[in-house]
Amino acid sequence: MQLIFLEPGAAAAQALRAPSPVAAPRPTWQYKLRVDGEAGWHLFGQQDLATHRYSAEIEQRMVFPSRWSLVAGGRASVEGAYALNPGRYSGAVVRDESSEFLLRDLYAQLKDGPWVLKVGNQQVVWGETFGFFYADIVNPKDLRSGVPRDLESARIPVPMVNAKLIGGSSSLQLIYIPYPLFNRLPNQGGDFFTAQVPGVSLTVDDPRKLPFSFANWEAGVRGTQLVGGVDLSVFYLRSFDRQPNFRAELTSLSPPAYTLRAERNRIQTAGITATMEVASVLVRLETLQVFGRQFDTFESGQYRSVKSRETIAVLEADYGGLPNWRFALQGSYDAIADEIPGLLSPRRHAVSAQVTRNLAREQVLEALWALIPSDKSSFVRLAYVNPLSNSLELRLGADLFLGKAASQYGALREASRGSISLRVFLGG
Amino acid sequence: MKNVTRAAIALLTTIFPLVASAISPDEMVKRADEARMPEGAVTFLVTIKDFNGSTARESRYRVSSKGSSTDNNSLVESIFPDRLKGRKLLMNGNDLWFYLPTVKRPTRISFRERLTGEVANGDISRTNFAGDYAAQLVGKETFNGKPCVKLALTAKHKDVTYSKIDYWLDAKTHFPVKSAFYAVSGKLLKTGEYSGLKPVLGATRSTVLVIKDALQPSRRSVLEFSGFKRVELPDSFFNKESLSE
Repeated sequence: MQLIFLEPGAAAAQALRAPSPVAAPRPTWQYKLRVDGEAGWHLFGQQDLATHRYSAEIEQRMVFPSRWSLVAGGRASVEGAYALNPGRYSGAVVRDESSEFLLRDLYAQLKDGPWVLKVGNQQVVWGETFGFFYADIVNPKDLRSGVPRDLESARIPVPMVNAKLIGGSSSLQLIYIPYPLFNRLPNQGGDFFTAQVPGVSLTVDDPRKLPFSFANWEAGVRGTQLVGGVDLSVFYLRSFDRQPNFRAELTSLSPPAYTLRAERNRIQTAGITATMEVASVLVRLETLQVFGRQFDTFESGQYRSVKSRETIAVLEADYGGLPNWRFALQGSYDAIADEIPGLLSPRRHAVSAQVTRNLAREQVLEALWALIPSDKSSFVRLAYVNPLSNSLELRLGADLFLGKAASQYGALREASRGSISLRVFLGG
Repeated sequence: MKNVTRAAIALLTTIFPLVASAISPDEMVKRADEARMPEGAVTFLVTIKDFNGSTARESRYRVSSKGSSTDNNSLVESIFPDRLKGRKLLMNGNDLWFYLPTVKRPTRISFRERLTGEVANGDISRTNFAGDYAAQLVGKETFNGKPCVKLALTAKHKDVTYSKIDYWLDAKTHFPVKSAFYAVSGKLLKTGEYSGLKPVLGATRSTVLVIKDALQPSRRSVLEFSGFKRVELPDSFFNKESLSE
């Protein structure tokens, strides 16, 4: 933008001048490039290299003078730690996670008055609370690296048609997904694979795709309304469960060996989210009902899947009233409606707290603590971010999984790590 | 004839200050608002230089605003430095959202949460004091040799950045000169000085604001407003659902 200061008289004089030939407006280009380098070491057990990763992510946006724009993005990464440490990581981890190129967002967008239409590979994000993916149910997630640091980078873009009608204080969104995609689960032999049973050979067969068929469509609708300071949204999604159910097949008696075959089941999810500010405290609420979810159980030597309804509720309070401090407290509840014999935890609670401290020169300290009271396991994430320049950011961090070996977070204890990373941001 | 002219001049010079001082304190604040920001739908750039002792950091924002004396919507988009590019701050009435490209969804926040340096979110996104504060004339003072009226502004509702503001306006033009911002406890948080009067969209307006920390005067932020343009901004532009589009 240029400084344009026109006196009223000057404006009139300019208007009276003969029109000069005007060049046709050209499309504008914007790009964002981020390059990351990270090294991390295991903190418990064998204290060796946990990650040595370089990645580059680019997003290019082309905005046409009409109402159209095109967005294209991709990410390339190489990870050296797995190949350097074959004693710790399996061949599956080395093959699947040592290098990759991923197509990220790739869509065309039309904005016409209150209408926005996006067609192509994209992310649709629902939900209000921090840290975890409760109502963020549309896109599958890449869970191979445990608890994701950037929620955006863990989200897998999906080809879809996404139409939004946006008013002053309300909106209506419709999405149609012709071909569903699924979560990427931790590879067997990796730091975050927890299904290993001692003395039993397991093979996981999870192709993460369905045969292409028009019958496999998914669709959702979401409405939002801001009423008297309360920001409400209601949504419904008919989809396949992003997490698979596994059917166990005994392939060998001695030594015992099983193949776990992934199965995809349809679910329907309905939910409400809300936020409101009450006396300097922001209250966030998410509640979901999942209909038809299958739960894998192991009872009397039999491995089976049982269908039930699941209720998830999350309540969060954020306080940002103190200068340079931000506090957030979150509680979640997850319950299965029917009694399912053999299911380990039909009701689960989790509590988490997050503290952010802004320091001088835009340095930031963050601490996240998540606790599962039923098994007393917890996850602690510490991060220190220091912007070294306008384009360069240093980050020191630690992810700690604490608790007994059989507990949810304790099972990941050996994956605990400290890390240092440098992030370069470029754009134009 | 000369006597008549003298009498008329004497009458006018007596009446004019009376007329000027007859303006209510709330009307003075409204005039000062107009000297800070044009009404209606506009876009402009804000450059913020944060000084902490001898070190300085610069950030730049593109602001789209649609406001009147009673209602104010604005979208602040970070354009520099590159590492903060794409972050957005949306104010719709009394509600505020923050958009991070690394999360790709709007997150609601409170007005008191900071944007950068000595500048709070509300300092950029909400510049309309007349809608948020009730004004009372408390006296006349001279600041930098300039005669000023001093107003005490008290928040009309809780959704504002500061609970109380002392506001010094030029006694003749009612352009803003200085402000002091207070917390609910009555503690002085920071002070602001307005300068850089320039013609902007058909009127003279202040284009520079220097905000100083009350406890650490070496910490200050200089806000420069430029590149004002009148634009068409539909209401849907200020819906949080537009942030990711």
